Amino acid sequence: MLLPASRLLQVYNAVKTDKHSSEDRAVLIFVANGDVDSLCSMVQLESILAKDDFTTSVIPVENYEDVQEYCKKENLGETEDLKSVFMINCGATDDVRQHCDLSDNVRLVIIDSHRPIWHGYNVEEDQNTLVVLDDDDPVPRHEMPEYTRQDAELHLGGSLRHRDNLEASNSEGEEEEEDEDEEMTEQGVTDQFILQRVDPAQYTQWRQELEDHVAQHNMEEEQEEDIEQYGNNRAKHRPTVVRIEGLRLAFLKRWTLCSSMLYNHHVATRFQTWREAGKKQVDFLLSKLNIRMEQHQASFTSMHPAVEPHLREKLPQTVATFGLNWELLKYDGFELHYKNDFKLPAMDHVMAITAMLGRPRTPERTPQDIFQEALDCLYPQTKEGMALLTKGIERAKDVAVQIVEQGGLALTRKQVQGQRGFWYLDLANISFTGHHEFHHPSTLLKLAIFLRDANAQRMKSTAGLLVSNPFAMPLLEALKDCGATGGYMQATFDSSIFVIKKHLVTAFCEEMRAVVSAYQTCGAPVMD
Amino acid sequence: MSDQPAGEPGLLENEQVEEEQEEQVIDDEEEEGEDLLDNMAQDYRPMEHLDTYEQVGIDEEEEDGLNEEEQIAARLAAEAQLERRDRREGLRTGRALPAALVGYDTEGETEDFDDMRRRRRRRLSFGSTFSEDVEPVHVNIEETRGRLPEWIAQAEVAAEVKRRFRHFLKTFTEEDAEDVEGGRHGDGLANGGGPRPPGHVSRVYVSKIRDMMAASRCSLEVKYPHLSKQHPLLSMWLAEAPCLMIDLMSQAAREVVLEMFEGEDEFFMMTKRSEFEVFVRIVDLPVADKLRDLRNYHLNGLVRVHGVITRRTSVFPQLRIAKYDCTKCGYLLGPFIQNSEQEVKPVNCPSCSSKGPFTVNNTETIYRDYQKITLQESPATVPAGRLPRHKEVVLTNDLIDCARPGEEVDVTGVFVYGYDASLNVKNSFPVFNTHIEANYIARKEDVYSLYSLTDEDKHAIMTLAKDPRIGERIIKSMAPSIYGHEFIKTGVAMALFGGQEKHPSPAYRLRGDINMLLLGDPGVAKSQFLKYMEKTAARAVYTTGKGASAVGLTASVHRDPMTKEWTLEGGALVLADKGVCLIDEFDKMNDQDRVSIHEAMEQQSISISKAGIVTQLQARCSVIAAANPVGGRYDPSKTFAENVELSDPILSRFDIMCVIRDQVDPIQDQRLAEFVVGSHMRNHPSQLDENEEQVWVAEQSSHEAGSLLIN
Repeated sequence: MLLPASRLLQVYNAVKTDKHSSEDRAVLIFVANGDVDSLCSMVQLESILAKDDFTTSVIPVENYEDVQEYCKKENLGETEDLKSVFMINCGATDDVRQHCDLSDNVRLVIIDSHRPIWHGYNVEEDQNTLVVLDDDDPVPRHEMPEYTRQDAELHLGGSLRHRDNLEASNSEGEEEEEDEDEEMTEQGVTDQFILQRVDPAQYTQWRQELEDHVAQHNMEEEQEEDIEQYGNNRAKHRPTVVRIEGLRLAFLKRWTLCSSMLYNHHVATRFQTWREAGKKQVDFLLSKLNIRMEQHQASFTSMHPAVEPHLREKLPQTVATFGLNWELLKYDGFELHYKNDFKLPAMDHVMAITAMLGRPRTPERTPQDIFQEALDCLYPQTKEGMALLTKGIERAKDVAVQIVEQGGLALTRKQVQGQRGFWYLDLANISFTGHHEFHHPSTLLKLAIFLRDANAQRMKSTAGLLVSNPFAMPLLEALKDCGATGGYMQATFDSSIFVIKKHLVTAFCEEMRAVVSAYQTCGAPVMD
Repeated sequence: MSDQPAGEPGLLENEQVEEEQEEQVIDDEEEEGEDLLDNMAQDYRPMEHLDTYEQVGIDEEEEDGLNEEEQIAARLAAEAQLERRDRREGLRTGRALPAALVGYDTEGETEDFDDMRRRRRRRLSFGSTFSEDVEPVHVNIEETRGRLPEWIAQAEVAAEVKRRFRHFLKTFTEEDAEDVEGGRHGDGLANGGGPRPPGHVSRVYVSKIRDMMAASRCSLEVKYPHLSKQHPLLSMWLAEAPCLMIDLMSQAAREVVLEMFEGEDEFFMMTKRSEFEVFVRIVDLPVADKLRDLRNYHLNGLVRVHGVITRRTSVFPQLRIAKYDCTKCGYLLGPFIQNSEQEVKPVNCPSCSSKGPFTVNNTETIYRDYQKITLQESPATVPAGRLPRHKEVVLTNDLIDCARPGEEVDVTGVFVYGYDASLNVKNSFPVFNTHIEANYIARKEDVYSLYSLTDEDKHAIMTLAKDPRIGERIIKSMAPSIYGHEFIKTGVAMALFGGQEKHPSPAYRLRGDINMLLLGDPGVAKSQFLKYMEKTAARAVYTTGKGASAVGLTASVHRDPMTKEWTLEGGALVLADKGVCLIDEFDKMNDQDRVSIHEAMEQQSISISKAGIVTQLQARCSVIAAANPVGGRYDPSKTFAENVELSDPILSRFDIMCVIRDQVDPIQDQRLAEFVVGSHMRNHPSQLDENEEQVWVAEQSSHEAGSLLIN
């Protein structure tokens, strides 16, 4: 059943009651291994559960097959014991209970921001499968169709990209805020914003809510400090979250201003910065801002202190004359402060951790190792955490450069094939430097978003900027046609990323081409 | 040479002429030193022949019959009529140019008021970056009086020169440039040569300023032919009084830049603590002189000379604007703007009236960078049987280090004299030393520079890279004038492209450059290969075994003539860093000299420890050497090492060793002879007829394509 956030406490109490009657008194947490959002939610949930002496087992999973495998291994299908299973950022888009053949003794609590929710969950009678749905969800409950047994088709309500933020409601519902709650939540929200899974309006709304939380939390902390009679100017040895209004230039403080501009998504797609002309345009923009080359090509820390304030002051007026959108270059968000010298905007933190999560999986580096290392990145106050975070930042920079340079090159060489409405890039058949890095769905998604926007810019069309995608159903249909022989699977818990067997790619592409051209001639998607 | 439009001189012009005549009279009197106050009363003495009005045109009776109001109304009506007439003629009272100057704004054609309005609108639509120019001054600058530098130095003339140059920078279009260059596209044009959309006006210097600022440079290159087309007077003055003119033009260019980039000067001052400056560099001066032909009539004029840089000093700070402290009262004197001829110093202190001593204030004084290079005539231009002459060239500001010793350059600058005491002592007569103050330096290598690779070039390279036969094509394009020798050409191509340098660990480096030894019988085109590489490689230094010593190849220590300190001077291998070093007659070299390049060939560095200097210079270059076998002929019955008089350590440092033998083979020799004779015939000037010329051009272009590819 769909559970409103207000009833979350009730569920939590029920889980607590179950614990006493269960044998191992453990709670299973399945967490999607691939985005920062789930990582943060997991940390929050774990800390809440730890307060009530729960023993938790965290299982990072990459896709439904992993969940299925684990359930089979632990024999959850026939367990007699009362078990509570939390699923974070996974499970909402498909019928997990049936997939994994779970026993009725297993209570599933699904906290997932992926949309659309499988409409089978919209049944009041099912008390054992609870999908948490917040009141301010972009796809509210009344938009969800009622589940009927005859209804065999998937219904795609709204856009594939609309998602939710449930961990915010989670911490609210429990009223047991930890120190790190704001930090984690804010990173979750930023993660969704960066990967373009929430629209800016929704992000702003959540950010404002969080802002109040942060302000309240910081005030409490200050009061505590006053009581302890410490001066305010002492170094803060706990990470704090501060609200900032800055520039949406990635790793600005850990890169050069020029690189930050060149590999910024908006600037790169607008100016085509993989070309010499684009690079010159960026140089010209910076010269218009009165910033000389020796300043913008020096690392941020060795830049003249007057440059940054000047940049902030002059950029809003200047970007408009260059055809850039100031709204896409400004950043209203949060920043993590630790001691007096460590400052990291949430956006950069999320990108660094995503880069860590997106590393290729090898026998030496298992998904569990990657998950654990990414988890350590959340704690810059530890030595290991700081080292890993630095590594993540460097990798994120590399990925950003590769996406712009290699993606741009692919566009220039006309390797992005297809037609209006459906474009594809076959990395396997082109010389794509560093393609071994482009394996993880999160990295591929970034590349795809870049190519979509850059292509739209080149074609001077808005074809890529879909609000509701008319091809969602045809895509699934085309996949099913290929999947008759088991050739495809969902790569992650996001219902828009799939893995297709290599030999089926051509057939799939042809199918999609046919669908898109039929749509363009008839005006509506045609399905087989 | 005048820009004045052909047409009837207007009323204003007549007045102007009269005023100027009067000024002329006054000027003459001033020169004689007449005291105006003494004879002032005489101006008011009655002079009958002058104190009467002409009767023509005066209607006193009519005016007398009107009352005051009617007189005012009549006057207003007359003024309105005059105003209408001025508008019709395109002149506006008060704001109009003097008739003599009308041509500059109308660009040589009479235009009516509508045209003027259209032009103003166009100027506004050109971007809100430019405001209207200040009102032009009422002086006819073409009528030069006195010496030209003094005339230009006058405030009004200077203002007008600046105004015209600003106008030139803002309005010179690509069409104008094409007119000047005979339909060719000028370089640095905004659109890179694509077809322009109709109605699109591309301003050459506006886009040059954009590029200059984007690259954070401060030199604006102005083509002399462009200036002489639009403002012949300015270009003439520029050639005659370059110091003043360049200064004025730089000021004008700075104003234009600041209009386009608001706040640049303030922010520049804030971040760099020096004033924002723009330097106008004069490019493509049509008259080129030889170094040996510079004479006294070139003094203080703009000259362009060609030569090779043989020596370069280090960079010194030169006083530009000096401020002095009075050591007695501590008063700060200045600023004193220094010129290059002599030091300007205060005579006495205005505060305490003492005559010094004065010390230079360290914090307030502004310096500029200063460097001297020695320019020598390039070997090709020296007349037969003469030795090359040399001249010192002074580089300042951003020209510093723009060229290195060994490079061929084209220097545009001002030919000036400087006082040299030692020269007077030697010659016992007042003689002066001369040098050139450089304004612009064009390097020959710039044509092939990597920085000038455009997107189109990259695209062409990408297209070439897709060709499966690209390897063969590159090899074929190596030295196409040499017959056969495919393997040597392959080796040459590899050495020119170079390998990949590797860094397995920070302490360990594997060189990527390929060293090559050509060993062969005489007359098998070894030296031709080397000469080809010298011409093709982006950076090449050519030397011969007998003409090179150990220090000449590595580095020498010598005393700097200016600072009298021991300094290092790089040898051939150091100069060839990131390029190729070509050594002909390698076997004729002394063994001691040859040993000195062991380190350079493997470690690619040169370590020096002499005269108190302990340092290491980089020599990351490919060494390509040509040698003859022992006894002049290669003996196949012996081993390679036995055939050549080179030690094992040096042989082990070569990666490619080629043996070129002159084998007796009638058929092969026949083909070779045909190729060589054919080449001679094709290239003989008298034999070049139409068809052959085309073939030759095609061959050359393929040759050049190969060269471009390599670079």
